Amino acid sequence: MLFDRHAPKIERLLWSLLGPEPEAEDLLHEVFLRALEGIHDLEEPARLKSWLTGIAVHTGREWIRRRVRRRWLRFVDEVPERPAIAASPEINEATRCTFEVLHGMSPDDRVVFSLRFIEGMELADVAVACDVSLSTAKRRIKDAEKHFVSRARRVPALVPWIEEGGRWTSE
Amino acid sequence: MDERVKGLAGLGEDVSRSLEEARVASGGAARVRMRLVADPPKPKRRAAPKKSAKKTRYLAVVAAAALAAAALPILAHHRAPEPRPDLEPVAQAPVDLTFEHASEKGLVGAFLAAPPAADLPLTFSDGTRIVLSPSTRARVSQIGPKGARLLVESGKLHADVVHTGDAKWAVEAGPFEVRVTGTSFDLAFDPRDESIVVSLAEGSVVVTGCMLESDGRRVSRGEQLHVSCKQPPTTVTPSALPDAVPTPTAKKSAPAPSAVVTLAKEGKHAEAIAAAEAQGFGVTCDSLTGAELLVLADAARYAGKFDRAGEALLAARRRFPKSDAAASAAFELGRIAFDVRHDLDAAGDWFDTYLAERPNGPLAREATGRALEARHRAGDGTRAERMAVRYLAAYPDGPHAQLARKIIAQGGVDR
Repeated sequence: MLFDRHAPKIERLLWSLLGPEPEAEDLLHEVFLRALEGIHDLEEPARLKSWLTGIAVHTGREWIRRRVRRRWLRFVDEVPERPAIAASPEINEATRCTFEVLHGMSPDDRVVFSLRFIEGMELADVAVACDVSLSTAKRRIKDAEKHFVSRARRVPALVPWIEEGGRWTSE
Repeated sequence: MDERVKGLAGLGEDVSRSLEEARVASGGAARVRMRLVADPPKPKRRAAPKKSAKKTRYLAVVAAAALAAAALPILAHHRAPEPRPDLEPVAQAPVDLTFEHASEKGLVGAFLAAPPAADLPLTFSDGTRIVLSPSTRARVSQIGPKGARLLVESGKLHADVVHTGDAKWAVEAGPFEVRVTGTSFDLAFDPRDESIVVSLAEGSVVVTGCMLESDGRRVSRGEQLHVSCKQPPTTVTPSALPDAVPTPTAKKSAPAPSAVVTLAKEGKHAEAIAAAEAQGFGVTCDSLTGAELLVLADAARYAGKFDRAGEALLAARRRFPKSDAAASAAFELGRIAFDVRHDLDAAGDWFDTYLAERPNGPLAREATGRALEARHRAGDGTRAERMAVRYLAAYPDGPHAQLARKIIAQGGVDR
């Protein structure tokens, strides 16, 4: 089944883009609704995986944009309870701070950063997922990286990774 | 790879790992699957399909067929179980019961999710009332003239089933089924360890499912059955059932305060709060350290029990004045006032309190931003502008910087 085969990866991708947000479940539903409704738009069945990834990235980016608009235009500004993360307090705090920093970045920067560094995608895959050329993807990632690091340097919980070349590798 | 990129990759890996654990624990995909199966989307045809779309159409047919095939066992399990002698068939019943929730007509098979901070009562036309506790997820999967079948995905409920002599009700929770004729009971189901707790206030029920006898286990008034697919069942007869619905891991005797904190740290938020309530929430608060009270408050927030969170935070401020815990408690009280109670004045006051006690504390930036936002939304232009100036001076690139500039540009007024 399309859902059973691809949902875990798509759900993980959405979590990478959004962080631990309760809306992730609704977005996963939306991605598969769009996919199942628009399956006729898929020209090459072999591209199913990257096609689904593209829908997920597009849906995630739309949500981030809506979130940014909502935050600044303040139509509604409720902060729902987020799913709990059962990691160590240190990692938990780093995760929270990472998404706090990402919230302050532009949606495009945030998406490419999350795909590259949290989802761990290769450059070429980021380009396909964002529907841009490889050189554009490289440039955006470079910019996003710069923006993230300049903000993260001021967040004590993230400094071990930013300043010391990685918490695990530095030990 | 340079050091900076290596650091980011390391951070990304750690974040990804922590997200993955939370994602798997959330069970979101399973619920989405059920939603898709309950209401499958139809592929939309293109206006002018190209020749090359042949493969795609084939794929669409395969996908739709696969979805339908996958739906069958689920529908068979959740929506159309094999005919049972104790439940009337759905379609053949001439006058089925109806039900409402939040003043809306309830639909059989529709997904019901109680909000994080409130109960969701279901009222049936025969007078039966089932109250889903905060964050509980369920469906009325079948309904007939003498009763209904409720499917609980996770969470807790309290049921008052009207005894009519031939009432036929059932609650399904994972591998368990509770058959009811007319009674009042509490049920808690945790899908993570497939455990169920059934506590009877009145009447009796029969529980079937894994680890139980083939003909089920009868639970009578005053008894509490705790059974998990991983542990043998235990039936206890407490002299008085606790006020709160016990959760799957709650035991008969009240755990020590440290056990409450352990449960909270393990992410078993509802269990931690139930355990604290079982031994008296105030007593628990009086026995914990400042840091532990913050942990308890977090657990209460995650369990949707904001009153309890407030109690724990106020206890931290009362018992440990001037401590870091007291300052953090002020910040958390501000967040609850802002996010949950929508009491903007109170929120602003709590954030101000934090800033007065810890002007350079780890939460100072967020407290300043939240304070300016609360004052601004409350229409207090003077204090919003003052806080906006303070924010920009300290955090010109912070997440509230744009709002702060806007407030200053408009002289603190945005309405």
